Order: sequence, then C-alpha cells, then structure tokens
Amino acid sequence: MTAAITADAFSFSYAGSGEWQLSALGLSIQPGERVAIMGATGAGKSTLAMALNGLVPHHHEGEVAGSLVVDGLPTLSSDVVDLVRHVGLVMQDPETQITGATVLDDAAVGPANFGLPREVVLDRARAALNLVGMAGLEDRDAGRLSGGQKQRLVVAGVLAMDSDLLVLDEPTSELDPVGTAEVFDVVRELSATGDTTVVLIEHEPELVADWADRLIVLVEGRIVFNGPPAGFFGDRDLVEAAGIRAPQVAEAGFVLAQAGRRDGSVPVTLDEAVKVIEPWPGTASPGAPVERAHGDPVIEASGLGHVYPGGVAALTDVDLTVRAGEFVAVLGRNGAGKTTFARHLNGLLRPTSGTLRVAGEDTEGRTVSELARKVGYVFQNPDHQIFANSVRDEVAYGLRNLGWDAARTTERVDAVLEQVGMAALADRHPFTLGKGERQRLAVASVLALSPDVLVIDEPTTGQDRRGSEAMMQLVRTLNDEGRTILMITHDMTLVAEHAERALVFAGGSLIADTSPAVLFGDADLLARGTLTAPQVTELARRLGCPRVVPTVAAFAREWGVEEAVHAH
Amino acid sequence: MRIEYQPGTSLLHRLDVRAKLLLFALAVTATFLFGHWLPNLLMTLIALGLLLSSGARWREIGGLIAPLGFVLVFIVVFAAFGYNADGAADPAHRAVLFALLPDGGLPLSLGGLYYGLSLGLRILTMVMLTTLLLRCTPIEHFVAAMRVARVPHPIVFIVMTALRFIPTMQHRADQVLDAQRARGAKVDRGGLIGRVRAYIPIMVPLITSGVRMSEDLAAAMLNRGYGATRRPTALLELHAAPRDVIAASAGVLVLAALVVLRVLGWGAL
Repeated sequence: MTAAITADAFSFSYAGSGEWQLSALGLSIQPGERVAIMGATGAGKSTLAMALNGLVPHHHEGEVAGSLVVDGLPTLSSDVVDLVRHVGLVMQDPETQITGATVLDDAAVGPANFGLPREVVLDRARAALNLVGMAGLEDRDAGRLSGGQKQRLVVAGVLAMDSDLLVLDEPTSELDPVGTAEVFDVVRELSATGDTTVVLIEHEPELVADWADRLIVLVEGRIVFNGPPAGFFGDRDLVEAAGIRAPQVAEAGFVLAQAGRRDGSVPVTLDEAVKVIEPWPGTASPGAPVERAHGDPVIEASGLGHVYPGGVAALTDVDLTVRAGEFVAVLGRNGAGKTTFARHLNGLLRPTSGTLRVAGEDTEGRTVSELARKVGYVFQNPDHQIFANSVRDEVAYGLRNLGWDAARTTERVDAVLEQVGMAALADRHPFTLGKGERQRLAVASVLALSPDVLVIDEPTTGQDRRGSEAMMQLVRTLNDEGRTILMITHDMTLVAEHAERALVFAGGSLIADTSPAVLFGDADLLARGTLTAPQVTELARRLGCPRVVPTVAAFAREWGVEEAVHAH
Repeated sequence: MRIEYQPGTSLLHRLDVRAKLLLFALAVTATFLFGHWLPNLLMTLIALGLLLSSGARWREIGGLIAPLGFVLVFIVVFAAFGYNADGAADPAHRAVLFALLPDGGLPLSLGGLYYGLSLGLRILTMVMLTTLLLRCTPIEHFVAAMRVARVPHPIVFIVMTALRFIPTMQHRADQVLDAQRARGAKVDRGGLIGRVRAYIPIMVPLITSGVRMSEDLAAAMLNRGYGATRRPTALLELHAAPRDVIAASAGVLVLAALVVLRVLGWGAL
C-alpha cells in the first residue's frame, strides 16, 4: 500500500522571511490514519497544512528543499488544481471559505470548478452534505448558518471534491462549544471508516488524546515527536518544552506520580484514567473556599431586556448585581445573550426594558464615551481596533478622545505600558507584534482610560499555552488590584481556574448565577447552558469524590497531595 | 433598509431575471420621457406602490430615502434656479415666481420649479426601482444572467464574490466601530475634517482585515479547485416561462404607448 503522505527532508522558507518555517521534515503516514498536529504559535503547523495541498509553495512562495509526496503526487511538481482533487484543506475561519449563496451552491463549488456535468456536481454536493449531517438544509442561505454549520459546510465542500485526504487547520478555533462538538462529530465519523486519511491541527490536548492514532508535534518547524499521543503526553518535560498543555487527566496522573503514589506512566484519556488512577482516598479536605470581600455594587441590572429592531428578544429580564473586585465569568453558547448583556455595560446597546446602573448611576442618557471610562471593553479580535503606527499611539487613542493634553497622555501611556509589561515595545508598529502581544495591546489601550470594570471577550483565543498563561496572569493582576473583571469565555478551564462566579445565559435569559464549582456539579444546568465541565471534574466524579473538583490543584488537594502541582 | 434580496413569492419574485432586467430598463427609459412633473409623479407613485407590494414597510422606505434627502433638495433647488425659462414652450412657464437677488438675479420660474421637481422625482423613481429589483432577485440569478450573456467567468466570479461579501464587511465595520466607541471614539461629532479624522481608526482596521480576508478567500478558492476549467459548470439554469414573455411584451407595449404620447406632445414641459 502506498503511503498517503511521505515527507523526505522537506523544508520550506517563506520568501523574505530569512528562516525555515519547516525544517527537514521526515514522515510517512498510511491511508486511513488519524493524525493530529500540535505545536506552539509559529511552530509551522499551518505551513505544513498548506504544503499538503500545494498552497505552499505554489500560492505562498518561498524556498523549498527535500520532497513531499501526497497520494502519490509530488507536491513540488504538481499543480494545485490537481492536488486539491486528492487533498481537501479546511481552514480556521469559515467566514472566508464560503462563496456560494445557498448551502447546496457552496458545497457544489469544487466539482463545478472541475467542469463536471451538472447532475454529477449536484449529486456529489448532496452526498457530501449528507456526510456532514446537513441534508435538508440545501436551500438555506449560507450566510445565515451558525458557525458550526458553516464549518461543516466547508468540510462538505472539500468532501464533494472526492478527496481522500482531509486536512483541517484548527477548524473549531472560531466556534462555540456547540459548533465545536458538531464539527468534531463529523471528523470522528469521517475518520472512523478508514476510507479517509484525516490530518487535524488542534490545540485541545483532551480531544487529540481521545481521537488521534498518531500525534506529530512541531517546535520551530522541526518534528520533535511523531507517534501515539500517549507517548508524548506521558512525557511532561517534552510537553512543557513544546509549549503545549497536557490533558488534565495526565496532569492529575503527574501529580500523583510526583507524590510517589503512582508509577511513572500516566493516562491520557478519561476512560483510561478512570481505570488506572486510584479512587478518591476519602480524606475529607475540602480546602476552605477563599472568601473574598467585595466592595460596592458596580453593576446593577434590574429587569434588563433588549429587543432588537427586527423584533428578536436577545435579552429578557436580567437581574443581577456585580460588586467591585469580583471576577465573573459570563457563559453560554453563541446567541445566548452574553454578549448582548455585556454590550449594555458601556452603552453600545441600550436597554429596551428595565434599568442598568453602572458605578451607582443609571446608564440612561450617558454616552458611550462617558461609560467607557467606567467600563472598559476588550473585544475578542485585537485586529478590529488596532490602527495606529506605534504601540504608544494606539494606547493614547482613548485619552486623546477624552481631550487630554500631550504631557498628561504621555505620562499615562507610559504607566499603562509598564503595567502590562510592554514598555520596551512602545515604539514598535503594532502589526509587527505577535497575536498575544496585540491582544495585550488591546487590553492596554482600554486600561488607559482607567476603567473600574473590565469586560474581556475570549482573552486567550488563538493563543498557545504561553500566550494564554501570560494573558491570564495579566487579567489576574488587574483583578488583584481591585478591578472588576467580567470574562466572556467558552473555556471552562479558565473559568475553573480564575473566576469566582459564573453567569450562565441561555436563550436570552440568565439561567444561573452561581459559583463555578456549583455549576460544574450540576449536570442539568450544564446541559441547559450547553457547557461541559473540565475533564478533571469528570475524572474526580467518576473516581468517587463527593465534592466538585474544578481544577487539577483541587484534585491534588482531594487526593491528599499538597503543593505538588506543577508550577507553570 | 438593507438593500438585499428578500425571499418572497410575488409575481416580481417569480419572473425570470432577464424579463426583470428588460422591464427595469424600459421603466428607466420611461422616467426620461417626460419633462412634466405630473407623469413623473405618477411613475414615482407606481414605483412606491410596487415597493410596498413587495413587502417593504413604510419605515424602511423612509430609511432608504432619508439619506438622499439633502442631495435631492440640493438637486431640485439647483435645477430649478438654473432652468432657462426663456425657452419654455408654454408661456405660463415663463412666469417668474420670485428672484433670490434683489436686482432680479437668480429668478425662480414656474417652469424651473416643474423641471426641478421632475428631476427629483426621477431620482426617487430610479432609487425605488433599483431597490425593488434587488429585493426581488437573488444574486445568483444576476450571475446566471451574466453567464447567459457570456461574460467571462473571472468577471462573473468577482461580481459574485463582491456581492457575497457585502454583508460580511458590513458586519466587520460594525465590530470595528464598536471597538473604537468602547475607547471613547466620537464618530458622529465634529465638522467634516473632524469626521474624516475620526474615520481613520475605523478605516484602517477595516481595510487591513479586508485584505486579510481576501488572502484567505484566495486560498479558499484554490482549495476548491478554482481555475481547473475555463467554464465551470453552471448550477442555475434560467428558464423563461410564458409569464416572462407576457410581462416583457406588456412592458414593451406600455413604453411604446408612452413614446407615442410623448411624440404627440403630451407630458412635455
């Protein structure tokens, strides 16, 4: 049997970059394999994905060495139009991959481009839609699908081209948990038959450990690991050096192994962990919850509701109070109302019913620029706001809007850059910064106005382990200094580790206002909010722990291991 | 009002796109036939009626016309004052209503007023007819019509993609605007210069993200085998029904009748 992918000393350097994004890769992947690729930001994952269908080096040009053969075709000497018949590539953002007006049109784009007869094109498109579970939606407007549906449509689009190698580059990074689950179900189903070789770039170690036959880990363009996931996640130093997180069950295994309670091997999937990790030892050490004192109410919503002009009720009857210094997680699937709620806090939206008080005053009649000094809003994508030619000017923007003079502005900008640890980058052009630094810059530019409350939308999306940890460290520090934090997120690990309170939205209503521990222990509430508890919570529950264990640290405590948690 | 396709089952929705384009061209020609305000007003009212019957609400139509208000008034006033009444066929139209300047300069004649009104009504009619056409016709139908007309595929693709990305860019612009307002941007204040300055923080992220999107799109197109053949398979086949022939013929007859009326001197200024 010929290999699906063979790389021999394959190297690539983007024109003008002066370094090798992929360096002397050697690998051989058999048809039907389930391959995951992991690595920190800039490790070369997307470059490898694009090399597989020839976009590298035919579309993105650069220097190439060695060889890469996919499905019998040498990528360097084949045309992209031939390679894409064998290799389907699904990229991160579904928005830019859909060109058809309706679902059927879009799924048919590939075969239509091949000039096949109309009946064949439509048959293939319908069959592909069927494979991704979208039969029956053929006539829907492709622009109005949910994120998960859009990405499934993109998968259908490449399947319709009859490719037997499917490459997915972080296909769920722009999706909510529901969309992520939808796309993963499709990936699982497609790869289960063994007819399709699936190569998946993914940053969630729990998913990778559960699904992949083979894991390839890249560090600075080199393969540092190529084998079954267990071999990688079991080696803590290797995981750490690659800038990746291990599955939580592996972390729990490490903690026990370090305390001498287990031999060296660690489980990497939940089922495995339940079998091999000792049951809850029964020591009652709940670890007294840290009660933090909070200040005056800074946000008071009463009967808050919002109906959009089209008549859609996006938010209904929300009552809640947030006090100064709280760290609150705002949860729920896309369209649940969490963003609609948050956008009222700085006046981007106005209540259509009920009232909202910020810092003790009604928001009615106060402009967004007035409220922006009380509530800072850091949006998910820093590139939607960065416009200035230097980091310093970007941070100064808000202050100039307030009419501050140059001297005072400079002083404040310097202080803020110091606070977020970007003083050394003050004169850099923002677009030369990495994604994590740009996100940090977005935080700094909002902090410049000295808001008491900070709303942060998905602060760690698109960042690797180091970037995420640095960002959360910053948010933590800001909270410790007394700022109230409202963090909108889909990442339950972040919630477990940082938030002391969780607001759960569903269908425009606030369905729960509780602690993360209570939330994670309430299966019914999780289901209604379409949320999933962290893996370690599930592990502890299945091992018989009567209390909710939200984090690996809490797991260590419950299992009687003190202070053994690996310091990141 | 967002000028985009609204699904529906009205006659205008069901007509073949080619018949609609022909009718549209005939209607636009008709608006240029008459100089008198009365037939122009009639046509504006017919266009308004059609727009309402297609499901547009009064408020939406108001939202469509309101931004044009200033330009419309400007055009009507300039045309009215700039009209040379001396050449008017009807002596009554030469009557000067009043003059802007004390020495009788810049006079407003009755003919000028009628002329200005006609011009304004024509613009209104055309705006409403265009909106009507776009509301009742899915983009793919225009694209299919372009294919039938043998427009080269790359051009068809560019038009199709540009139209497809209008809502996406609109959404992106809203996101950018919100992000800047959250930093105290006052985009709706200040004079013209102030406004242009205030738009830089909006245009820069919008353009950079637009460029990035177009790069992604280019890659996505290649992923789907774009360029494999010169003429990709057309998925939508246009079928003309008897009603299309009837509607097109009726349109031609009406225009012919109007031309005859015009030639007979009816509706002139």
